[in-house]
Amino acid sequence: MLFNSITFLIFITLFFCFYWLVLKKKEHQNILIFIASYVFYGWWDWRFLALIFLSTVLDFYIGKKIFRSENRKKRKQLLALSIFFNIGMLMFFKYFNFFIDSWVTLFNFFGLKSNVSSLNIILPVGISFYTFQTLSYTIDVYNKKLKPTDNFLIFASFVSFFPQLVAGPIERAKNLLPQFTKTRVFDYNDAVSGMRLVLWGFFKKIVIADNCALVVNEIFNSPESQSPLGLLTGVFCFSFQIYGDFSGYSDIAIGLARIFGFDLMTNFKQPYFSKNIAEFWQRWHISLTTWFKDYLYIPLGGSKKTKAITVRNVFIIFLVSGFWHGANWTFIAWGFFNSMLIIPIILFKKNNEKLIKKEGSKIKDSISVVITFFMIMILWVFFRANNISDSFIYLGNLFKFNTIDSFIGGYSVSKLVIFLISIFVILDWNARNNEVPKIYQQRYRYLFYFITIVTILNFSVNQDAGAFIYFQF
Amino acid sequence: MKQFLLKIAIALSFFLSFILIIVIIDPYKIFWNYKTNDYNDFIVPFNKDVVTTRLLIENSKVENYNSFILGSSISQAFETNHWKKYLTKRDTIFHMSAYDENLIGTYGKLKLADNLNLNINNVLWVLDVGGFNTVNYTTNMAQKHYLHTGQKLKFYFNFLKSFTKIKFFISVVDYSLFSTYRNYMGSYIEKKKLKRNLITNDQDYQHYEEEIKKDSLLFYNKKRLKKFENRQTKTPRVVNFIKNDKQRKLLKKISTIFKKHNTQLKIVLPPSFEEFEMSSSDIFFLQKLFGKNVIFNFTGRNHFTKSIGNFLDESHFRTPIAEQLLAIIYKK
Repeated sequence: MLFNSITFLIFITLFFCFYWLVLKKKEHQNILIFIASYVFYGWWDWRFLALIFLSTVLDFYIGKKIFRSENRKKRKQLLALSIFFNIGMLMFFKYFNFFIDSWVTLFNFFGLKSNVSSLNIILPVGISFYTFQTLSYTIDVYNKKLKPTDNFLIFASFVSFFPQLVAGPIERAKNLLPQFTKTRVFDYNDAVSGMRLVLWGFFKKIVIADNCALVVNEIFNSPESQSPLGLLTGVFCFSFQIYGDFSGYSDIAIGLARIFGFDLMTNFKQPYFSKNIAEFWQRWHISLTTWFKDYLYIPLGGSKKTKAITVRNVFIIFLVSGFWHGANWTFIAWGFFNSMLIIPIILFKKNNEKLIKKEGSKIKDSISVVITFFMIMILWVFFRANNISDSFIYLGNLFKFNTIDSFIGGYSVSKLVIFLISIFVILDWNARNNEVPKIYQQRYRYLFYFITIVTILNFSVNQDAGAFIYFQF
Repeated sequence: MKQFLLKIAIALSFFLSFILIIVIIDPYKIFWNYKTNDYNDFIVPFNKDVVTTRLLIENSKVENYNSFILGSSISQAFETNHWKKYLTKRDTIFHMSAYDENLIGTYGKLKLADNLNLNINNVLWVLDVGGFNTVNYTTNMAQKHYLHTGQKLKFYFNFLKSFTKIKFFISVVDYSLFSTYRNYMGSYIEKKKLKRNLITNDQDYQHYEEEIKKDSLLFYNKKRLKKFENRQTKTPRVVNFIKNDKQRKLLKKISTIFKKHNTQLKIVLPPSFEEFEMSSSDIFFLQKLFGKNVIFNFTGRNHFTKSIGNFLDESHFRTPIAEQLLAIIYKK
């Protein structure tokens, strides 16, 4: 069930009516959340429900057992079981064919034959998100940062909470779980700010991401026939497609949750205005980067030990992060090259100097922003291309010119898409230090709401182009 | 809560009013029941798929159609009175075509004719490049009737969406109220009322011939000649029209309907000024499915494509060319 569908509109309208107008008690609202979330998730494919239920049941009981056990070895074993099951599930559904194909390729490289064949495995939507969410629960219980819940319904609702189930933000149990135990009362200000965020999210997704996708698909489907300008346009538009798509989804998820009295974490903070790559990674997909920081980076030693260990840890985090995004060497390459951009900053920074510098002169900051964006944009080629060799061919051709004519090569830039992106950049800047553009909170806000809705309806492309990118993760 | 619901209600009522205005005006004639005569009176460039489908449903109650011309706007050059010469007196023809017709629309219309208990005795299927695609169009002029796609809500939603272009909405409301064309309306409002034969669904193509006869140099002006500039002057491009399983599946379903009705079929692969040549593998597939003697291939380079004067633009040929094609088809 896509957020941008009539089915979801009917679903959320019914949910709203029952949640606020019919059911008053939090226990009844939690039951509704659980049922609605399973309906929402099952709409994709009812077979996925068994997996999420299994993961929920297992981690619920593991959490309780870890908490009750005083035996350190037993606690570790239980945690290992949770990690093994969740990561194992992820490995099987997401990476099994990748490992088989890579194994076969390796065998073929050495001239050996392999009889192993890949399976026809369907990737359950959102598996990368909810497995990490439940893992954070068992890890926090193990580290005694969180007391487990005795209420299975609350835990199941936390795991399957439909606004953030399929594409995040990846919530921490200590933030979201207690909210299910509190009485929720309709708050007008929260509902209004939630609706604003949903509107802004739909704008990003439907107007920006979906329209950029038309240009991106055309160029990435036949990069060999594109001029350097065409290739640059392709990756430039992809930068905004992925940002609009992913941050748009997050905004819709956070906005919806807020309407129903839940507070989810911010997932994006205008990342393309970052002044260096380290700052970018503090502003992009915040729920995932903080997850890796808390559950992988810090246990490995973080930045508390030597620079060599810090560099090692950063390298591991980015490789794993890349791998999390997809079963393809391109994502690992993307993670690798991102780490190569951060590591020099770590190596050359002075002791106690922060990675993210304070604001300097406007000109210097603007140049830094442009350079940082350019570096991020170039690396997005690996994220979007079908394989490693295509990525390198794309980049090679992107820089293969010696005159302006050879750069342009007859490519005609889509003025409409460039115009939309320009407007979006201005509005995103207007939204800095805020969730939504400030025009949504000013005197003529109703006029801007109207313009936004008409623009969304006007620029919506067909349904096939409408799925969110991050659902594939 | 009350304040929030009140604001939602105000916003909804605003949009409902907008929808109500469009439904009342109904420029595409999709919301209400219309008489056959009403389909000659559109204020906007109409959706031919809607008109063809509605005329077929209405007229089939009275007319005993048994012969059908299928295809996109390219098929409009084939007039029913010209094809009639090659059929029997008892055969009644309906021009079952649509703009940007594709396999979804073609199959949908044939299935509709079958469901209306019409005999599909004769079919002249003008199958151009676009006719092979399986895209679910969403634009107001090209989208298929919901009877052919099964997507009723989406069908109405796509038409409603077109009115979010403010200029279009204002043009339609203005013209509906005052029946006066104003310059700002541009091509949103249909200035030239194209007449059709409401029984056969023939579009008036003769006006092009009259314009050419009156002043051919004016007709083939700079703007029109620009459309012919893209042609490959060297070797015509061989193109695969049939590329995926969805296309093959729909072609097979169409073939099943023809077999059921024992249809006398003629598939015309029409000439195009751009001289696209259908690949031999595609032709082989069509021959295997529909029969060798029913495929008439005029794609690629031939004597029709030599002269710009045979065409109205790079893909639409003139009515006299259609008559020549019919003579060739029925001579073979």
